[in-house]
Amino acid sequence: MNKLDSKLKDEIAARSGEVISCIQCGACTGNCLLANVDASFNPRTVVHMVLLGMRDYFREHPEVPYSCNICELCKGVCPRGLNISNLCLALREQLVEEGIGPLPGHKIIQDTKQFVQSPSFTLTLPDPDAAECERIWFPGCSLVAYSPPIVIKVWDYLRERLPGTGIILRCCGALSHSLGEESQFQGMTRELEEQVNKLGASELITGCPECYYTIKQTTPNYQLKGLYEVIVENGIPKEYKNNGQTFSLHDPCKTRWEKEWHESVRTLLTLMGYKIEEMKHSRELTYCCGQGGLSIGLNPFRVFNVASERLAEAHFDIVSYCAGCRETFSMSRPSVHILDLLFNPNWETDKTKKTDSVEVRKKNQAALRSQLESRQKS
Amino acid sequence: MNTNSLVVGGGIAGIQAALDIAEAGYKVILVEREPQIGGHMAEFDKVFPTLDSALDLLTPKMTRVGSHPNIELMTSSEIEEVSGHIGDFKVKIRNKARNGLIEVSVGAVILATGYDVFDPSVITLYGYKEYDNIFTSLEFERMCSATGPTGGQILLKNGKPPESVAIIHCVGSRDKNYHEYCSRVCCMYALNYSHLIMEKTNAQVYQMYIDMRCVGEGHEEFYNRLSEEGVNLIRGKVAKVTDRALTEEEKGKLIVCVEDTLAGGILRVPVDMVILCVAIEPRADAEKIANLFSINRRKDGFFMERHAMLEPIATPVDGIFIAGCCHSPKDIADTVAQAKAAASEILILLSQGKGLSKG
Repeated sequence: MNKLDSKLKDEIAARSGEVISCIQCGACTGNCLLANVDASFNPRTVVHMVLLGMRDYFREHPEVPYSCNICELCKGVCPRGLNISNLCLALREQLVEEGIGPLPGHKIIQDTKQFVQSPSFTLTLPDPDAAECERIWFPGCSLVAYSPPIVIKVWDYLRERLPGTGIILRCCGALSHSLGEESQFQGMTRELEEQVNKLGASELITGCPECYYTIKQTTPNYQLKGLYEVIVENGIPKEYKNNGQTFSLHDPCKTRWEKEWHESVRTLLTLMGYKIEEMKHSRELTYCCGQGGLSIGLNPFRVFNVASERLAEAHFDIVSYCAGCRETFSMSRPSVHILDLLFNPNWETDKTKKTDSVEVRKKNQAALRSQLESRQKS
Repeated sequence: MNTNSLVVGGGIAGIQAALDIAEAGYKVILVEREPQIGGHMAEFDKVFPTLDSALDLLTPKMTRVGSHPNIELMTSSEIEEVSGHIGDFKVKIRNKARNGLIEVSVGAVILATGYDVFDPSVITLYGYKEYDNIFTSLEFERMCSATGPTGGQILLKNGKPPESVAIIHCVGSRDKNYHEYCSRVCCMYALNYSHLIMEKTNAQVYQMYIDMRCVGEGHEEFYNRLSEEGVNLIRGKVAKVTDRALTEEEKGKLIVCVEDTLAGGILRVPVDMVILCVAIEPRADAEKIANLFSINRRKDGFFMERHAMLEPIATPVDGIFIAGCCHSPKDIADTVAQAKAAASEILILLSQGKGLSKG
């Protein structure tokens, strides 16, 4: 029998910032894509057990809070406005403090994290052609792993339209944050802020929904801006290649609440002459691709089952604006990143390219760093 | 010294209040903006928990209102301007049918303007207006009524009766995204619809609910009766209604997706018809009426009473009273009680012999 500890709900409420108010209606579980694919995950019962203080359950089943995609769809449908993703993150923090988390299945993620947080990847460079650095291009780690040429082209584009744009290659801390390693995350946040301040920049531009979501939570001392809004404001690069096809547009879960992102991407696609299929679950109601929340560490097959459910609403090739989403969908459907459409002249052949192995991605990340560093020196 | 009163709204609340004041021997002006009185209740078939015919209850009162010597009935009329104070309100009323404007002088006012219902189109996952055979509660009431578009038959768009119906609770109610309050009557009318559907068709009826709120007189007994009549109760707030069939038997159906929180497990329930228990809302022009009469509205948008417990009929403005759903969602029994209470408030003032002035 579970012992009930009434202190648990206060601890989780404090960690998550949530007011844990619940009528056990089941809207969360009914809507949760992960719960629909895997009956062992049930957001409603997670809330129930937190409220009653079933601490031992989470100690014995740490994979439960670690399975959540952290997609926040539950918050969108909850009649009390509860964000169960935040509760799961708080439970992860608790498990890490108790020495139970992260889990053995997170080994690959830990290796990835170690690499992107190491000097083999991290790099801070000012704008070589400008005296002052007003803003930073922050590509994140996934986009670099996917396509170093796109990262460089975006930097060139930004420096041309907005002189005084530096670049920072660094992990935003999302991996630490998602694993529940809170003190590590805070350290990384401080370091990123230091790097931005070191360049004297007041604005950071990113095209990665995960980086945007993660950095925004830390209330940084610089402005945070989405790349696609910037491209709308400054014009589409003239070199883009269009074939006028229809895409099913997937909104990544991490920018679920960012209407600016939803609108800018749609504006860009329309301006470029593409037709958009709006899926039933889009914008604030979007589905996670399946990779969210590091769920992949526990069950890679489940990720692809979630992705398939998501793709059931899509009748065309996929366009998205998250490298992680593109990677997940590419396993079963031609998928592009919107930056492919803007900057990659070979996107029509590349759209069928499946995701690269971990080694290739790491190689890309290291190679971009060396390339940028030697460019700077010359 | 003005002993006349004004009742705004000719639904059951306004009708009852006007009749009580008139029976006591005082003159009442009853203003109704539609061409006929009766309000929402005139649209209903049988009402819970007694299963009386709504019109059987209402028409005698409507007739009495029309013939009572103390009641001046103004239909197709709306309030245009209000000034004055208790004992001497000057009210301008526009007759929309003849575009005439008249001014009346009354000592006190009862607002009984009723309610509107939530438009569920904003809940895109429920498919209202996107798929056929999804109805709001009011639309279904109309269909059940003998005076309605199908002569009281429960029919799908293709003209056939449904073989299965899902009734979804709490659409827009108990929901911070729309209305935080509970609309109070929906659990009861959902049971009522279950009964009517099983009486008129051979359909299986499913109710997807969060709680069953049956607090009034005869309500719990009505719930027991329906459990015995065989309604299928699934505890869960519906996630979505889709037409995307995954199996042969789902083809051509509306599939209601919901977590069964009691047995555990996400269900797909294929049905022919869906009824949405939509929230009761303040009238679209509640703000206009509140401004005209200088009364307040609560955070939920309904007219504010002077005190939630001790003065539920009076408003902060002396001489202006509220009754029925314009105050908060409630059923017919409670509406009639409030209407009688409002009449009583006015009769108290009149019996003080000072002709509706304070002190």
